Amino acid sequence: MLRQVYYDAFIRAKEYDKDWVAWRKLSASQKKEGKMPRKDLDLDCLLEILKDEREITCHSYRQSEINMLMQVADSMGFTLNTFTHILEGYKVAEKIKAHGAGASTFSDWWAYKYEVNDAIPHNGALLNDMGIVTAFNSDDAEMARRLNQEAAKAVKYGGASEEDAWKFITLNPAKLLHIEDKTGSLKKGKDADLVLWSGHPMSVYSVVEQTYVDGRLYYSLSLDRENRLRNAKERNRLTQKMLSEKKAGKKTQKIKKERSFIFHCDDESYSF
Amino acid sequence: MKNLTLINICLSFFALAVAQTPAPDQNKRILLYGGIAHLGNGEVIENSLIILEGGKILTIEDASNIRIDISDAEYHDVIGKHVYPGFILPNTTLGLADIDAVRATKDFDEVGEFNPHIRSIIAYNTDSPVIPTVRTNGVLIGQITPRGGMVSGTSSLVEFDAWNYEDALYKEDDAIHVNWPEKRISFVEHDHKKNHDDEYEKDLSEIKSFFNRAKSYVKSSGKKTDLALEAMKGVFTGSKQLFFHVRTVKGIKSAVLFAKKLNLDNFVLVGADDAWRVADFLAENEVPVVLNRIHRLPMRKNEDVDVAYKTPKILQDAGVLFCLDYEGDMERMGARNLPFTAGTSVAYGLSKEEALMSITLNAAKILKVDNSLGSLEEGKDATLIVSEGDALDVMSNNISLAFIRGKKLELNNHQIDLFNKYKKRHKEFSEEE
Repeated sequence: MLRQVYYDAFIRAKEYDKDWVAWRKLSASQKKEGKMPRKDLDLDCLLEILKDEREITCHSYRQSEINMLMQVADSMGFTLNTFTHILEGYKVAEKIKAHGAGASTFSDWWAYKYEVNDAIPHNGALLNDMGIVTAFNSDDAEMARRLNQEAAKAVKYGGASEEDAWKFITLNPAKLLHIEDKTGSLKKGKDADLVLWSGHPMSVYSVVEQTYVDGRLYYSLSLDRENRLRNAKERNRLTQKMLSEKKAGKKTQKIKKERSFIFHCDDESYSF
Repeated sequence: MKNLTLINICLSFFALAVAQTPAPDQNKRILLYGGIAHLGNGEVIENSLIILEGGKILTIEDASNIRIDISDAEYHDVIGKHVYPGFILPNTTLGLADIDAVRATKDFDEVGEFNPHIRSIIAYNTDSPVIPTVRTNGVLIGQITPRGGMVSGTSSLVEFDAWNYEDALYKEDDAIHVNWPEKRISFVEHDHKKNHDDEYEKDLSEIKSFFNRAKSYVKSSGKKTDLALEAMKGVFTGSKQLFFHVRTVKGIKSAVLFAKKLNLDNFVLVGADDAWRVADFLAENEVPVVLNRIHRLPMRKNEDVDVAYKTPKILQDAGVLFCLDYEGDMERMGARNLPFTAGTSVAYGLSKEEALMSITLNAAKILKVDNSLGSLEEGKDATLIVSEGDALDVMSNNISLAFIRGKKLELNNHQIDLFNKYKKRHKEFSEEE
């Protein structure tokens, strides 16, 4: 149903462009007499899309809306970079392939909104089989740290090969983000962004032993163990110090509670 | 005969499109031969023979030196495959809601603060499309649990294969659920529980006085019937368990001491994020714990990032009886990940068989159904699964057979149907090219 909204926007952007092109063609004296078109930041942005200067990532669930936006894009002459979530993507996979967009989907989420009733955990594998560049996204602060287990779900449900499933969280998202020349796979010349796993990287039984970012050791399981002990000791020392000062009759202050909050895409109303 | 078969095929296809048809009672002896049997009690039989009869496990033993008669039996070669007791999901709203964002599909939170007489089983929808997607990963039993208020209501245990809620019942009205008042600390997650910060003292005195009233109601006779207090009877006579939903050290201790003061010994802690801080206290007092989904972030900034993952190991070492649940965001559709949370605890210290216990025998013990469920033992229910590979790891969890009291389940669901439908379509595309 949103089709007209998109068309309205892009048609306005095209006409806006026309006005500016015409304006720029005018001579200095003509400009003096004429009226400069109004600068519009929204339309500038849409124009960048039409001129392939700006990539589009589109939140999407149902096949109808996916289908519609691709039609809008095709008729307006631009290509969508990535459909995110794209839960019913498997229903229009051949169309997505023809259009040339990539897909970043959930591994197995469904049944949280009415429009995701037909979301299936086989989606990623089906899209991948169609030849679409496919990734898994997490959309969740906890799950983000277990993306390796999420990748395994493409094998379990959709029958993807282990190598393909692993690309869902490495090379393929790098491609969608246009950084595959720097990262996303272990290849001579790419950035040294590496992870050392204790076992099969997609197994729930494996843990990360080391990570490297740009060749620097960023995390180490054994170092982390030492640091935890050190921090616990230091914490205890500070607590004891405060307690003894209190005992000695020194001035105390109330505990200041720190608020922490995990932001979500619909948390725009949060106030600090 | 041919026509009959055709009709049968049409009928079963129709049934699949609507909802999974509950399986008929077991009428034939079933033999599972050669499987790696994970008994659920910590033991493994590498090459097992399992015979199911009349809905029970008739025999489970080492198959190496046995000659068996397979005539008149449904025979399954499960050589090299893994056999487990059906996984048990405590503290869930599965069947009480279908779609999170559609309020009309949700029925787990009644109006009011003190609702022990609200029975979740009444709202349990056996045809919820979510249930077949959970049992295809091996979860066969659930404790259907109400939420909200200070006393949320009464849960019941169900089997995930049934025509209606009475048919589904495994143990009726097994426990009353209490959201024990506690002060919030810097919770970083959204919480379905009421924010008790402002009314903590008031809530605490209200809930205590509610229990006192219930206790005196039970003792006295001739009073006018009060349904809420009447429902509390079982707690004091021992027929119902009391499940305290609580998260922090302070809350845990306060709930346990309160229960002890009332001379209750049939109580369980649910959630108990902080259980690892008071593991010895829980062990000493023999308090069982239904541990909140271990795939979660730490509650406080200064906690270890993997604190939730390693809590099972800490409780195991301390000797606390615990099992795992999946409460929280997306808990119904996510419940199919229960076995993988158990698997995660292996990466953080538990043995594989201990991890299995936390979703089988230990859950059955805590829900007080271990005389018939939770492990593969002769005389117990034939409620079990066969997986092509290790069922606690994502890639190898592939349930090819599932039985509830010997009834062989349809292992299909709405999602598998859609997958097959579109896989076929995609194949046609690639053939055209």
